[in-house]
Amino acid sequence: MRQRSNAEWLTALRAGDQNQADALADLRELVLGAIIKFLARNETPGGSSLDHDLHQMAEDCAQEAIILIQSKLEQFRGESKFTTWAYSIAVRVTLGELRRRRWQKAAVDRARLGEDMPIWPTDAPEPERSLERQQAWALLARLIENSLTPLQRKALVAHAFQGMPLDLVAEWLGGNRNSIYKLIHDARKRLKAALLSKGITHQDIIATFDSPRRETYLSDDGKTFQSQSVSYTVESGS
Amino acid sequence: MKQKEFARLLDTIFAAKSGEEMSCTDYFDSLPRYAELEASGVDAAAALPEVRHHMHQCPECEEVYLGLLALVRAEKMADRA
Repeated sequence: MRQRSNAEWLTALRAGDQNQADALADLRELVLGAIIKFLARNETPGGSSLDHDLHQMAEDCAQEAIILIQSKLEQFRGESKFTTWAYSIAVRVTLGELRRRRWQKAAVDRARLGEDMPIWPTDAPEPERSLERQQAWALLARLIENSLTPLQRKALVAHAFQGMPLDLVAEWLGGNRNSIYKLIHDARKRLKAALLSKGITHQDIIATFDSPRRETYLSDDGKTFQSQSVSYTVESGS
Repeated sequence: MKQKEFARLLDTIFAAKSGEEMSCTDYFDSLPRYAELEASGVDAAAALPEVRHHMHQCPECEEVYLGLLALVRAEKMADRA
């Protein structure tokens, strides 16, 4: 395969002649190869070769990625190799398809989408449900119920607790991925404020549900909060 | 939901910034550079902290990064061979 600089890729893919056909054929080979590697690494035991269904999926995702890449050439900023940019689109398309397939098989009551909070948030075994954990979960569930707008609650519950992919939440509620991300971001801000107003810090709640010494992005970033004695008891009417 | 997924959700609540955050679209625009920096041994999180923050807040977007990084690293190794 011919090696190309970023400028050569862009020129060839816009050429409208044999150069474009050659570049498209090379791009397809690279993108399909990347998707096959990605699927082999993530979707097959021990990185083995793809079965017929996964191989067909790789072909379909490569085709979709090539169309997207061609439509987005103007958006390539030249901050990376052109092929890295193309791979990022290919991975995104492939993961989108995998998530869509998983969601189709998920045992979620579609009639209760965005409505049903789980009785317990994790698959932890029964003995793990200490009284403190139960109280903390009851408080968080109450805050999700009462502190968010109906739309924020629907988006958060569907995505975080029912496992609906962001792109599908966007199709369901209207809008696009960015607007749903912002909706969930606003929901998080409200929950953070509500928890802090009750004197409950990140460190408190992580210590309740998880290991207090666990390394987190927050501690990396120096944003952990002082631990304190905390009560999760839900006040009546709150 | 796995325990670690729930812990991640709790992390994202407390990591939420008071203002606006980078959108998924802007994140994807910067991701190829981020992945190449990381694959080159540069501290990409320090160079592009907003990208790192979005990655933490959006597990789906982080999954794209991890897939891309593996491809970029594999390509680098193939280039050296």
